[in-house]
Amino acid sequence: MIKLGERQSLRQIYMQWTVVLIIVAVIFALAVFRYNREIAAISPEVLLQSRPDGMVRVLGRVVSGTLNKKESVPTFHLSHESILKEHTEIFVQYIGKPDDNLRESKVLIVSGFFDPEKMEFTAQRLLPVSNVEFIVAAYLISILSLMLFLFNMERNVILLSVLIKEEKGYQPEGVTTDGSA
Amino acid sequence: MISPQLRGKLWKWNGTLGILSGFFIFIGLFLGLVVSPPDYYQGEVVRIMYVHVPFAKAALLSYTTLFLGSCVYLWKKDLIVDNLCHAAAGIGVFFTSIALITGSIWAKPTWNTWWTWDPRLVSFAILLLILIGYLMLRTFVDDKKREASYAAVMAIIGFVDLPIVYFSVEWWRTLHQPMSISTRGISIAPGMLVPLVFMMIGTTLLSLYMLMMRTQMLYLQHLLEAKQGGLLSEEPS
Amino acid sequence: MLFFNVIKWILWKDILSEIRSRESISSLFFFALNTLFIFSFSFSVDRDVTFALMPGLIWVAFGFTSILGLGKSFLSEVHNDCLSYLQIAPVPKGAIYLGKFFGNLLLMLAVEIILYPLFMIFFNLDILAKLPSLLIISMLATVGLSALGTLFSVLTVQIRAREVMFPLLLLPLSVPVFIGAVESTQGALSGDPFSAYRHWIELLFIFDMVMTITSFWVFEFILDY
Repeated sequence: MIKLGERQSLRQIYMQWTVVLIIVAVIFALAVFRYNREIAAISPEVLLQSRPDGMVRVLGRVVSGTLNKKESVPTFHLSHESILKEHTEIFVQYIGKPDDNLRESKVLIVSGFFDPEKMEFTAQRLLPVSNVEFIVAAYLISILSLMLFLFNMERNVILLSVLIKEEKGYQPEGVTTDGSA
Repeated sequence: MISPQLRGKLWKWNGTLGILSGFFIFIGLFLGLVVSPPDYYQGEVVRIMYVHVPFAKAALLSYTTLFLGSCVYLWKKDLIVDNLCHAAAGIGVFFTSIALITGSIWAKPTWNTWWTWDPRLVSFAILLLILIGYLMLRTFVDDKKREASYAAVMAIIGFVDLPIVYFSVEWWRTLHQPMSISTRGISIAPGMLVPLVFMMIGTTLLSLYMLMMRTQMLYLQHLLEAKQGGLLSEEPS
Repeated sequence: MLFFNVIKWILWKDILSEIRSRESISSLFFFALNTLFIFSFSFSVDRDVTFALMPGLIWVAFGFTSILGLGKSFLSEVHNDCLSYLQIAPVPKGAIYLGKFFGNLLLMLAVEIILYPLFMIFFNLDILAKLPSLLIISMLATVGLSALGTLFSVLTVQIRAREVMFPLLLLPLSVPVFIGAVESTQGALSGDPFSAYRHWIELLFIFDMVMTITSFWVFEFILDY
């Protein structure tokens, strides 16, 4: 039973922080699973090579000049997100709600189904770019340094208490406690 | 003199505070990273808000604690209160730096710039400089009681000055930059409000916990130094 | 009346020692002049660009000069052991602060008054008509810098690494002074009507009031025993 309000030893600190680390790792793992489930996207090249059935997300750039919003179903071409790379384009028709994010040269993620015979992608949803690396960086920096800082302080408190108990007290030179020189 | 009984009673609550803050933060992290929806315009990056905003509020809370503690110290001359101020400054530096770093990381995908002369960002940077100056001042003064008074004076002046800095930068910015970037102008959907509230409560409790822990650590450091004879006054020069 | 007498005595002591030795004012003046020369070599000599940068250059130069001048305002007290006597003297400590504050203010204003005509000569600016408003702006900004500078001077003059600590403590807190001074100097130099840069003057005024009063109240805790 962990006594609340009193931390007697270093071992308790280590156990407590192991538990904290495990919980944080579990939360981060759940976040990673969620990322893979809902956000991870493939590029158009991979789409053409692998030709998956079912719902898939593709990350790419709307090729400028190909966006046609006048029809009831807007259509455009999607290329690799990097302008410099040699690209393959896929034809996308968007059947979802009207969306401001659909603009020329915009990098976005389309979510929908791919038809290999007609070489057409039917997008049901548009998503903005996920920028996951920024989130990862921010959370790692903040949570890890917080845990490190706090762990260090708690450990110092215990170590100082131990040192104080062991400390003999100041003896000026040449004088012992019984007064003899 | 803050009575030792009061200190003892407060210290007994320390563990509960720690566990409670951990509870709120874990739930907040879980909701923020796994459950809450992404923002319409910003996408997933809005999740950085769940760390950035609570840390910024904790930084301001530490700074206010520093100011109040300094006033109480100058009134009562209690050295435990001085330890509290020193602890609050250290914690303030930590939270302010992390808030600035996460804010910068958030700004890059959102506004396509690492830094902007926004009054809030500039005030936070100046706050960091003031706190670092405070800690350096404490390092360079030799006499313990003088160190406490000087530091308290510095904290009071800094706290009074910070709103003036904020308003002056705000006026300067409206003059020199068009208000095209709305600072933190996201309308918060309910799905995003709940994790934010959990994280705010958790971080506030955590900063209180850290404050108590750090005050205790500094107090023990002084005690050890006193026991080793380090605080005996030197010969007057 | 003791209060005003103390202010008068301390101010008079500083003025007298300065008139006799002239070391502060000459060193500050030549330092500011050197800074001006370095600026004129570092930045382009294109006239329009120089005119646009002029308020910033002026106030960076004055800022560095203040750091130098204010930083050592209590140094003479420390060297002559006067500081301990000031600590135990049975006079209101706020009066000591105000005496030193006015002394620093006069010193910095003297340097600035000599420098503005030199600015005009070296950078070939025609600002004679605007000189009164420039001097008023300088006065307000210097009050703010002196208020904080006097306080931090007595704080840092007794600690280690004083030359580093004084600007480190002073500069973040004087950001409003620099913003207000540069903006109002720019308004005055461009010939804008007063209403255009009036709120910068108000900012300087508010800063001066708040900082002088706060420093006055906390000064006794520094000269405390």
